[in-house]
Amino acid sequence: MASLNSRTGRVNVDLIAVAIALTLAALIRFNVLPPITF
Amino acid sequence: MSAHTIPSPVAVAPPSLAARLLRPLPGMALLFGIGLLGKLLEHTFAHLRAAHPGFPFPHLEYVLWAILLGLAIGNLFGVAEAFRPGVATYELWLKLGIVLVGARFLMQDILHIGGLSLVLVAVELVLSLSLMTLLGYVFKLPPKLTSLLAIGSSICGVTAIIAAQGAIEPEEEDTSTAIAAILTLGAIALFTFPAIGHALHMSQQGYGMWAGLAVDNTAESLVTGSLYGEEAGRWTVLAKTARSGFLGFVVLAYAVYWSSRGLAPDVPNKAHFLWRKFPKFILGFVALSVLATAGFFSKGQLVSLTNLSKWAFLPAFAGVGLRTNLRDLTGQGWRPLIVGILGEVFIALITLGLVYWSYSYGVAR
Repeated sequence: MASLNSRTGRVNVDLIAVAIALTLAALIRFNVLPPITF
Repeated sequence: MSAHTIPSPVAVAPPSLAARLLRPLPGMALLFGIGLLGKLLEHTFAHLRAAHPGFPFPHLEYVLWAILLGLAIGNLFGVAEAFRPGVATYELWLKLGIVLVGARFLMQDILHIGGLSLVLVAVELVLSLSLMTLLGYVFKLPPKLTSLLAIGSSICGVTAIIAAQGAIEPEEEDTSTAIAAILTLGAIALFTFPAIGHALHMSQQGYGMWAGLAVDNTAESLVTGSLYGEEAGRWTVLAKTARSGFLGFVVLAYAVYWSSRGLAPDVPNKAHFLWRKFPKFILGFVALSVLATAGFFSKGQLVSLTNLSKWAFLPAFAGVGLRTNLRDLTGQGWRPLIVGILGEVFIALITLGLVYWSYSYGVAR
């Protein structure tokens, strides 16, 4: 697990997850991404 | 006397950026492959059940298929070295999914149910910490192992134990034993909680809150909630996120305690310590919730965000199965496991009672 490897690993994973999520949300908001189905 | 020659150090060039970016790809492909196979099996059996109603085809959701496939691969064949960096990314997918789920909660929900969660979490915290400490004393576990089990069972499992490791400096063996015990108990919860929920005819919201309060590790907690239903999984995220918010405070309290006994480093700047230990993904969860509440997204866009969170959870579910080692069930010594089981059963019962009480008295919606 990434967080096991270093003291800062958990923070990095958290921040990367937040950055990706906000980027995806912006892309959806401004209709850059098509509607996502599951 | 024979002459030993010491080989001169060989300069190893650090891997290039491209190599570092490519390294996780096989494991990520494995995670998504298992998740997609789980979805395929769910659809295939649903189709077969409709076509041949008399035949007992399995009725399992993709969440359970992904875990079972991951468990089978991880325990029968092991995870090859080439796949490990990618399999470790399951934590990233899990947190990405949790942040995206934030868009499904309006701030009113968070303030209402989140407030209730905080009260329930506070009660759960006090009970778990006290009970684990008492059980550790009764079963004569090493004191720092007891602290790790108490921290892991009261907040968010492995993340909490790792966060505490640097602060209270336990023996390395204590850390791995505590992690193994917490993961083992999480694996047991995956299969027992949904059955209990169905037996008690629990509502999606009530069950989701219970799974978020009682199951320790974030990944296992989310899977345990999602196995009961999509709605339950959403409420599990909320309860678990509220619980994770206490991480810094509990670890700080233990750090100060062990430091006061001269058995851990001093904590000179407590505010900095709290910020360093705070799980930052909670900020992303709240940010998306604020944006959704402010009407930043249309209805269709919120559906897309929800579906994106499901895509993010898909590899995370596969990762939970892959890294669950069934041999750990017996390989860690019986005393930490007995303490863990007794403590977890008690906490599960208490939190179940708390959830029932709060719903009976109309606190929750």
